[in-house]
Amino acid sequence: MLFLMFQLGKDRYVLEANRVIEVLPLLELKRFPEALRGVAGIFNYRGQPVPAIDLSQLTLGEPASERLSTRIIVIHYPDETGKRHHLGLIAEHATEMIRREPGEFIEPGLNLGNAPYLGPVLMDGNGTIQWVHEQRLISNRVRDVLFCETLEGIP
Amino acid sequence: MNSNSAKPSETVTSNGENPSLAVSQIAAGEIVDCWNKVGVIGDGTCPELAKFVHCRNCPIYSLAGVRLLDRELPANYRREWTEYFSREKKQTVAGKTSVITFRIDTEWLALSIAVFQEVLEQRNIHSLPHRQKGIVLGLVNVRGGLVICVSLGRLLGLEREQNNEKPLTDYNRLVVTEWNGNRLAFPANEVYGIHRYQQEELSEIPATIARTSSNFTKGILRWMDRSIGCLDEELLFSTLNRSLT
Repeated sequence: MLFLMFQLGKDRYVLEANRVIEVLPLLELKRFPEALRGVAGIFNYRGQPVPAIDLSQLTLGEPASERLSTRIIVIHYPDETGKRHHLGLIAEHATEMIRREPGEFIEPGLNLGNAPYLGPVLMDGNGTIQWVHEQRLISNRVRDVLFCETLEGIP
Repeated sequence: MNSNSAKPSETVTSNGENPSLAVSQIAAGEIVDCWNKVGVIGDGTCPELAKFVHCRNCPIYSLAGVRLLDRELPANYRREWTEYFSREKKQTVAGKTSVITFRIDTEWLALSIAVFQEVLEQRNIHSLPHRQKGIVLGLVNVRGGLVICVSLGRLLGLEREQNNEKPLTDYNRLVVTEWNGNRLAFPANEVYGIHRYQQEELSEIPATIARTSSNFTKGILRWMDRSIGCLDEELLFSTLNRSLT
């Protein structure tokens, strides 16, 4: 199974590669003042406005650094009704793919309830890699803000 | 960010006591150019070379490549990519039909790739007695077999024009074709290569030309700022085979 690796701070994480639509370079974002934490703004993805989540901002509280290796990973994200939307994830060091069997990942043995997106871990010679369940990355409240069809829909 | 800022433990390793490094020993953001010192560009003493043969197979080398992407964004980088990704994605549709384009005298022609067997250097054509005038030029030796060689130029009426202002350089080739199990060869003055097109790109032949008897084209193709005739292989080869008898 193929995974896309990225980093949050110094730690390495992976996403399932078949969930990824496209990896884009860092684009210009239309920022939203007073946006929820982690919401970096929207960008123009082939003519469509697509919201972007800054993973570093969301998880560590610091925006991702502006480097060539920082990229926007475009994935599908379902809304409340199950309709799939595009979502951009800004991730640092999104430069590598790795091939691993799902069975090589093991449960870390601790569950911090406020980060439901963290999955099992894999240990290699250079440290630990953690699997990120991208469908649980953002809370339902943030999701409803990002993918509401009308202004009245904002909770 | 350079190798001088390595921690003391790594300075020891780069002094040569143990020239091989592990990826985990390299500090974040650091690029260790060990390939210049102990690797293939250096003195080749790195023990890892026995395993990786060349530095480009070594994870330290790959790591340095990935680290190059940790640079700051160049000016206008975000602007340019934003413009690029705001446009619709161009869907490239695979070309349905492929032809090989070749030249006979001054005329460029296209013929379906399905009938081509090979394109060879021009070779001697052994002429046949009593067959001097027609389209049959003679026999050629293709990998030990005899193949009848015909003149497409004569069949299509493409005799060399004498008032050609700028003669084209000839790269004489022998084209070997097969159609319905019959092999035929013909000389071409140049064979360019493969061209793919969509069916709708093939435009109609002007009616005045279409009525002439010596027409074997099924349409006109735009190719390299030229209009070239795409030959109808069925009509062409059935006529050729008939004329052999």
